[in-house]
Amino acid sequence: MSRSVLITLAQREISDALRNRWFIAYAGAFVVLSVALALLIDSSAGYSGVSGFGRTSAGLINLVLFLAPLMGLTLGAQALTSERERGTLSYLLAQPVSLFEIFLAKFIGLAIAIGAAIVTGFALATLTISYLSGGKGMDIFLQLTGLTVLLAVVSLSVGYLISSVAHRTSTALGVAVVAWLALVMIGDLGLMGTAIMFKLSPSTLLTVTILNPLESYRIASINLLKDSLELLGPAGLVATDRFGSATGWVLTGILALWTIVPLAIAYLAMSRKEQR
Amino acid sequence: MIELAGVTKRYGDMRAVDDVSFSLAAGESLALWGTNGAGKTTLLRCLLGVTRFEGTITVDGISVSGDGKDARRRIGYVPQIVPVFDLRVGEMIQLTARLRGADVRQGLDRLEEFGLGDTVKKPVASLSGGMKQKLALTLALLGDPPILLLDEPTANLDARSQEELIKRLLDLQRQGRTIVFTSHRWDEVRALADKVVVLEQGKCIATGTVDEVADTPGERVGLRVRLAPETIEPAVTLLGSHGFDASRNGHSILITVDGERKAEPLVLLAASSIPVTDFELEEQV
Amino acid sequence: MNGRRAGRLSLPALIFLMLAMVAPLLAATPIAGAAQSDGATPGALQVCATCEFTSIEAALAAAPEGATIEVLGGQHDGPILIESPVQLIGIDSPVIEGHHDGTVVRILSSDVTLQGFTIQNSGQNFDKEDSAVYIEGERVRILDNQLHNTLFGVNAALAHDLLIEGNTIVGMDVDMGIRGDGIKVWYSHRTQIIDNDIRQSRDLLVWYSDDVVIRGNTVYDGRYGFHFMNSNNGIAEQNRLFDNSVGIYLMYGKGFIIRDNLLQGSRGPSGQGIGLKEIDGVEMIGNIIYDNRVGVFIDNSPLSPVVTNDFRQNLFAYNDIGIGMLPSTRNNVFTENSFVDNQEQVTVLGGGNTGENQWSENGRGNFWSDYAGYDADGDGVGDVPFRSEHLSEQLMSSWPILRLFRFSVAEAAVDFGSRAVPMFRQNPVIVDEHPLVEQVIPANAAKPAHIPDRTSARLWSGGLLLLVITVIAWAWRGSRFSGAETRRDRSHAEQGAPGAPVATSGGRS
Repeated sequence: MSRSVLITLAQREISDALRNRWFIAYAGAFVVLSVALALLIDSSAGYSGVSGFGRTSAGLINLVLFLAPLMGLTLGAQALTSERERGTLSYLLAQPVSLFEIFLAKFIGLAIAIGAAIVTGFALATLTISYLSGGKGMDIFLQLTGLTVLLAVVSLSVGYLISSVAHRTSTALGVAVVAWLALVMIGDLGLMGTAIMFKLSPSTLLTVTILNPLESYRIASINLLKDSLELLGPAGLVATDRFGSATGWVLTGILALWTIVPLAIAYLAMSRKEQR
Repeated sequence: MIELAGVTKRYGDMRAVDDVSFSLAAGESLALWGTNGAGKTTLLRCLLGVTRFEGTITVDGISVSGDGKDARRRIGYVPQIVPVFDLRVGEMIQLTARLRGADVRQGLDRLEEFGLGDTVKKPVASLSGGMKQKLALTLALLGDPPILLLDEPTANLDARSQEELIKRLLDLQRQGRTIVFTSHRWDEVRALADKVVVLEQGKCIATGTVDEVADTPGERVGLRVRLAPETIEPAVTLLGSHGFDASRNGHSILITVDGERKAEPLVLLAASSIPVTDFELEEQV
Repeated sequence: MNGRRAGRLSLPALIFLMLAMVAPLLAATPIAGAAQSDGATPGALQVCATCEFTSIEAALAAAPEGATIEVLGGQHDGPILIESPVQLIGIDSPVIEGHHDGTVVRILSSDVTLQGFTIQNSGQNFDKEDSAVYIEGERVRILDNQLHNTLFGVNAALAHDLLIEGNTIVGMDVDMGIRGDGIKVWYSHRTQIIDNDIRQSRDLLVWYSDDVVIRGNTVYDGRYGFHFMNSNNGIAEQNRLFDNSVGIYLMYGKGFIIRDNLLQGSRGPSGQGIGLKEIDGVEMIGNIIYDNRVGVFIDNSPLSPVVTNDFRQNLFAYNDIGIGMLPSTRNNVFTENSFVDNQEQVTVLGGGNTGENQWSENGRGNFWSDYAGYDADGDGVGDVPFRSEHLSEQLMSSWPILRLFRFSVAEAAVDFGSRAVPMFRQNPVIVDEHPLVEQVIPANAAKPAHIPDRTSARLWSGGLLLLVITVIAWAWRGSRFSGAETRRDRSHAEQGAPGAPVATSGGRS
């Protein structure tokens, strides 16, 4: 693998992203909404002098859960198909460059672009209120930022997988939106209903829930911000019992797996397809 | 410089390239000649090492399937259609130069030599077909690769541009480059190629100099002839007895015929008083 | 933090003060004589290596009733038994060492004062309640002592009119289950517990003791900040209780004033800022109840149908649940409280609504951070009632397992759906007819612990922004075509002009 090729292609990917209207729209929405939310949080805490992680600040997690996967999934889904449709992929492949280098450099470039959008949103929100972490220190804030970037990278990886097996960009985008809906909402609503109807045990519910990377992210971020999972009721206590102080690592590990596995499958699918 | 041995490319049961072998010395030029679908572009992809195949291809002693990156560093590739990167001309040169480990300035000089010096800041998409082709050649020559691979280089050009491009390619060959190009135009082949490989349905049906292969049957076309139902049987028999490959196909007859003799069956039928109501050509057989 | 610091500062300050008084005498006379002629407390018996008494026991044995014994520094062995009314004053922070065996100081007389000692290393026997100080006598005063590494700190039984003031009590660094109580008060009416700093102990217990006043204490890293049981007419004010499992727990009793306290970070499976179980007549005023699992937990209180409990001007902020009450809780009156951004402002644990409690009085209700109404006439009271009707909260009250989905998009969707589709509308948990539009700030309450660090937040986020800008600039510059390269030098152009191709140009990388 050549570093200069990786850098060249990753740079191209980032600057392409900066001119991609989808990316601009997502990043803009994310930054504007995080700052708006920060202002709201600030105004609700302003008088009393106490501040912390409440219902309003929880909106930031909601915002992240909504936008970060949408950003990752749709940008990832377009990444390979559009390259193929425009003929640019076969052009790049005719250069002294390997498929793996193109695959990896595009991924890294997109991850950096999306990560930059998320970091910008978080940093501006924190500048606005200066105590997003509820007084628990900046290491929490930095970890939360890292975790959020990881969530976006997970979504990018899943989007990439969609892109690698889809034949057309339009199909890939459709599948990505369906996957997004399922991960963001439908899966949870279904689990909520199932938990009530079949009286699932907290342990079962927890296990099924954290298989969804978005849920792993949500629980991990609550664990960071609140330093415990008691907020999440019986199932949260099960998590604490089962994983103890390793809870954050277990959930981060699930996210890491969700990055690596789809990416590996995507590469296999891609190389089969391209070298057919 | 380039050696192919038993190159076969399958898509399922279909063989897009079927047991092709040839070799080419440095400084020679070779045309892959055949109809669309004969396997020319697939063979180019094999030469670039971007697709899996059976058999071996070596470029300058390097196996393209073993070390494709290194092989591609020795090959400049001019695609049939320049891809629509969302880039300006200068940016595209810069990108390709970096990927090929070449100097950007070399590309800019070449661009000027081709008379495109003032397009550096224009979007690639705004260039005309002829300009794009020159840009593609500029890009392919970045890093001075000893081999040029061109896919239907004159397909999208007007007559004047075709002539200009062929002249340029001859110049490049004279400077010592090895050139492989695909074509389905005989005049182009004659002007440029030292050697010709004739492909038909993936098979190499003839190899040799331009003059040697000039006699080989050229492209074959399908000729679908419609005539009155009661005349179909006698017409098939008649055509068969004159050596044509004819078969009944519903209410028409399908005749596979040499591309340069496609009027003969019609003349023969007319001479035998079998009226032809309509006919159409099917280029791919 | 501040509590800890106050505890550390008070002792050196005390020592400095005493030294300042003694210093001129020390300078004027030989040391041996100094102690004997010390006129600070006329007629005091003194204990030191060269004094008349070299051990506390000897001084105690010789002391008449009401005598003052001054112990001038040094290390003394426990156990010490005090059986007559004396004032035992430590000067220069003398240490009484318990050697990890039994109770260190045992006071079995009334009218005893114990002041200025460091008492450490009690035994660890739970059945015998090994303590730093055990008290069985009236009008005893425990002042300005440091009690370190003790199972129980101050353990009082049948010790009416006890005063415990200005002490620092640090329990043993062991699991909560095997810690003792920092202060345990049993059948000791009119006890006053003032300005103590207690940490790493289990509970501060007040059992079967009426008219107890607890003021200005800091208690953290324990289980129960204060635990009143079967005690009446207690007052707790200006205390800072944080990072305990429960801040204040009131159980079986009547007539309490809970005023201007800080209750923060009460966490754990049963974390509560304040818990009320079968308590009649509580006035809870001006407390800051912040970042607890449940801010105030109400179980069957008030018990009597003719009594009300009043909650006024408290700030409930950033708790998981602001107020959690068990079903059929009634006759609580809430006015001028501020409910700021609690995950669930008020909830009935197990489902239902708060119908028989009162959310406003005399036209003034409470401030709700999620109130979406308006105050057109500018009288400070919203013109439409506040109704708490989050469907998700109600579902979570009924099925606690669903709390796993807190902050999820699905939760938001449920609430949005229930608002948009009237069919899903539930009975509101609360209706406050006169919601306030501005917070009422508990101005006199003890200040919160863990103040966030704004400066580092700004530095870090500014740094991250710089990082983003750098990365983007790097990528942008890398892929843009810089015009500089068009002004190439001719000599290079000649070299780069097409000539004989170089077979291995580029090389391997």
